[in-house]
Amino acid sequence: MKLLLPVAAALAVLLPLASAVAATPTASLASTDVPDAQKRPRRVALLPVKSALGRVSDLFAPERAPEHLALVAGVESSLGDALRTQPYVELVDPAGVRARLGDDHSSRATARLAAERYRLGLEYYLGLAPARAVESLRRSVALYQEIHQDVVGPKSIADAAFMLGVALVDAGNAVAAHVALKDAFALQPERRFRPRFFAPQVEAALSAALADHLSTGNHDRPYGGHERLAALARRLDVDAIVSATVVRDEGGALEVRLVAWRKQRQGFEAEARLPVAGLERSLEPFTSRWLACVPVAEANGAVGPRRRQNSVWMDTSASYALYLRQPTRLSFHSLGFAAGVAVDIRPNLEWFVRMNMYTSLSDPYRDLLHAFNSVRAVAGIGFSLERGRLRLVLQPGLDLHVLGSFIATTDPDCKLYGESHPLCSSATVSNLEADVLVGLNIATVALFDLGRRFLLIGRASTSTYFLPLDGTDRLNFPVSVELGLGYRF
Amino acid sequence: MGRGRLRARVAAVAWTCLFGAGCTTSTELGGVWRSEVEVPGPLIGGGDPVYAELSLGHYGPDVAGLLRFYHDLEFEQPFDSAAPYRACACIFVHKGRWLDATSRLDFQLRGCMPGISPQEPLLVRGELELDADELEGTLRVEEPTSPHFGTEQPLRLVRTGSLGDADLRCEQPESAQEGNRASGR
Repeated sequence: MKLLLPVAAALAVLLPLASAVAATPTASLASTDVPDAQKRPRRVALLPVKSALGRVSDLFAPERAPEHLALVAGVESSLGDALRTQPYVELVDPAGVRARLGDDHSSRATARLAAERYRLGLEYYLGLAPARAVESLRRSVALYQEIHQDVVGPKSIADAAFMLGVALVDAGNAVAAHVALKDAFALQPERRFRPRFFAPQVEAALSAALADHLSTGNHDRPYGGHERLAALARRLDVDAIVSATVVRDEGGALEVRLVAWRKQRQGFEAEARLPVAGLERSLEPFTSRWLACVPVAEANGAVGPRRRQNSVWMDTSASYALYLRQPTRLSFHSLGFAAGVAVDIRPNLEWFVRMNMYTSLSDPYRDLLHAFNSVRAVAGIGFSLERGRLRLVLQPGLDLHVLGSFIATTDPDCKLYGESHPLCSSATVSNLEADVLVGLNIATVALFDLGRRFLLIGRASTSTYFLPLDGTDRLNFPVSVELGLGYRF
Repeated sequence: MGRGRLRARVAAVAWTCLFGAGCTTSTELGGVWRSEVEVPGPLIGGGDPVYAELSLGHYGPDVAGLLRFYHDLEFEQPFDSAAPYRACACIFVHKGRWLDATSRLDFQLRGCMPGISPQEPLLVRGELELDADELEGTLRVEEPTSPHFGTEQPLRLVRTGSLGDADLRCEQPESAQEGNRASGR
């Protein structure tokens, strides 16, 4: 009997938790199927936690600070900790999500356009043209939705959405106004208004919409459906998205409604309703059971969406080179640009081709008689290694270097009067004009994933030329560095 | 040495290697230098008025150039450059060295001197110091078999402009009838 009591107590705790977790393990590859050395963290984004804890009675009491903000922050923190501690998870927390979306320059033009539409809608509204105001404000909300403004910071999109509802009330379209205001509360449920700022019928519509949102709002999908989350996952470059809403259940107890969406699954795959009391304890079974179903990508990209075989990498870079062996007494500098293509042929193996164009500037003593242009082609294979966002490649290859007007001398008479002057001894002149140097090249390349398939590329290389036999003793061993931007197709 | 100082030193060396060399191009002497007044004797002047023009190319420690003589201060009436052996029109500068530490130009001339030897070449050593836009110093005969051995000549030149192709015209050695001995070849 003494033994049965603790077992019964444990079952009493564990069974409700187990039933609350509704993860559905359907994936074909479990974490343990991939050797540890080839595992890559699954990138999971945790979106800002929403709440549906407001009260209609507080809607026109802006002086009352929302009581549940600290609670929501605590839930968000617990969720973050629970995901972060899981193996092979690279978490993008809500702050990281906001930062990534905020840093996305491609969305700024859309944000500006949405803000302009909002201002225009406001002007139409104030100018007593509600129909035009509705049109403008609808467009503003749609544009903000397109760039996931509700995730970055909901105030601006909620402003437009509330104003849309108010304009619809003025336009006499009560049903559409109710839907618009309910949607607005879904975006910013803690929004409050000054009393008597709006007309009584608008205040009534706001109250009704909030009450409806709190009771029948879709708290299981706080950031929309599959299409929206798929677009968001592309922007964040993540494999899965977790979102949550804190609500009151029928009995008035606080609960967290969790939902996990996964890119590879093309949909939602795990949902749970967990009591806020003892949340840390109940989160662990949910996250571990869900993640057990999420495949761990192999390092060669066989499973993960970020790396595929036959990826094509292109880049253009600024380039600088100097020669360790040269006929001039001081080094001359070569500046130019480079462009290259690399194609994955097997995991960690690629072939590549690069073209460099250099302008070599005269040295300080002007032993190099003229600045000259040269073209260099390097082709070979690369051995790559990836760690997170960093890809390192070792590229041995063949180097073909076509020199332009390369003429050097240390005789000052040749420099002053020209190499054809009788005072200039031809024995002092090194003429490699239009020579083609052939040799071996070795390069180390670092590619840093900037997101959205763009890469920052640094490359350092050196060559040793062995042909032609009479040219390499005068000019050899170029060392070059490159810095540029690339794109992965 | 502290790690900070070491890092600073390494950075300074790297900076110098990459960019410093390109900034030390010494072109202080490159250009045309002329006498402002009639050059006195004994080597160059002493008879008819003679004005000297030194065209220099400066390449780090090396200097090449040409010394030409004129009859007028406008430098429009050169000695006959088509017959330098007879007219002592121009002399090539040899073994020109720029001594950066002392701002001094050392060079040799092997050619005529209008004042004392307008037709026979002499070995003359020049030492000129740079002071702003002035080159000032002496020419000294170092031809051991010459009776003028040791004779010195003061010379002061001012910078007048940059070099053009016309400033480097002097009879080519192989095209002169008897070899341009007077011009230094």
